[in-house]
Amino acid sequence: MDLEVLYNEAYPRLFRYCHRLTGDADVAEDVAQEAFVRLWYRQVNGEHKALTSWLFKVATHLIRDRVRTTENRRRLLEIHPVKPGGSEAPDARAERLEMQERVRGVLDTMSVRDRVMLLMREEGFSYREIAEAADVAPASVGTLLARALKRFRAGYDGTWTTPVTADDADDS
Amino acid sequence: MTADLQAPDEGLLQAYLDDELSKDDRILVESKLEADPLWAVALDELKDASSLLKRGLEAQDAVAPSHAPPPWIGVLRGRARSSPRRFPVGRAAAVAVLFAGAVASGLPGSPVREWFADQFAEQAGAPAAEVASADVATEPVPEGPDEVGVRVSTPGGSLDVSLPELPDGAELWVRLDDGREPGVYGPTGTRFRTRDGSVEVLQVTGTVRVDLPPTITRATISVGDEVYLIKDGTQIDARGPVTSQDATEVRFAPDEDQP
Repeated sequence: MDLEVLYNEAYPRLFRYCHRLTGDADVAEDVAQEAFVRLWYRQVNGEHKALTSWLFKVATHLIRDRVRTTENRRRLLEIHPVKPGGSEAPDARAERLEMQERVRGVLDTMSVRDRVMLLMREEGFSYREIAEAADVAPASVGTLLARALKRFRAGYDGTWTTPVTADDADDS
Repeated sequence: MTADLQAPDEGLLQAYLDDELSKDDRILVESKLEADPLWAVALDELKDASSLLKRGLEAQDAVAPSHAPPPWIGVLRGRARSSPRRFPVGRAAAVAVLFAGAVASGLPGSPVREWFADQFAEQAGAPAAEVASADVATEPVPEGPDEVGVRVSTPGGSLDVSLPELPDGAELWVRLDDGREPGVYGPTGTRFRTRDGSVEVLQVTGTVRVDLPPTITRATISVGDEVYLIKDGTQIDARGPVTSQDATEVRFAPDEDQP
């Protein structure tokens, strides 16, 4: 295994996934690098595709651990979306920031499991790989993804705002 | 999969979108999509939501990731497969990396240069052996059971300094003379504080790696009160439990006789 080749191939995706999952670039970088360190320390071997899947799975668990430790604190916080800067921004930037804000707000109210599944799907992983990372039955991935997408849509449209703080909803 | 489907099956449709269906199920879904507008509407809803999510996520990706591999990737690659071990606690109460002014670096006999030389001489005891030429990467310098060290010459590239498994409470200081943010890397849980062009590691949870860029001509690394490493131009003198396999890395290892 050439760690540097794997890093160059997988790190941008892994960082993007972690960033999307957490909304925090610092945490994303920290977790993504920690996943690589663990890969090396544990002497994990395999094809690049399998190793990439392993990295995503480890990163998912690392983020879950962080979420669990901060869950109580997060529950106490109200969502205060970050407003665009005071300077006049181009329309495109303003639209992007607005969408970014709304999407982040919706994702933050979804369960970690839903987020993991949606974001791993966005990264192109198979249902089997998504099932492993999300700890769900492979046969249920399609249904869970569809429901997560609906929740995301409803949250974005403002028709569903109930925060979900537990990983396991009642639809698995 | 049963063919007796009336209401749109969202799981089936999602799997259809994601190309996760068997050939038979795909044929079934396509027949339903042609025959039942409810199925087509349900599929469009999933497509719309998926598209919205994709656009929303891409909007978040405005924070660009750093694509450059961190220096420790190069350190890990090809490294001998040994388990991480702990520094002797007595030696690693703190780690400090101090960088003096680049101006002073080119002045033989300058106060800064002499100060570093004095620090190293006091802490390291006997100086390391000379290097035969600038092209020689490393040279072991046996100085006795407690004074094993190396002298490394880095004609061009950066130097990665690996400090494995620092104990809890260890403090790492990195200061650069030109105000740039130094390259300091630690595992999850490591906490950093940046100020005045320096980085302080407040909480060390495992192996810490420091990148010494080639343009930084002056540096020392201290563990506790002991100076372990001095960088002087392209030359790095290191002492203590240290190994170096090439001109790009120096690895501090724990004493074998320590628990």
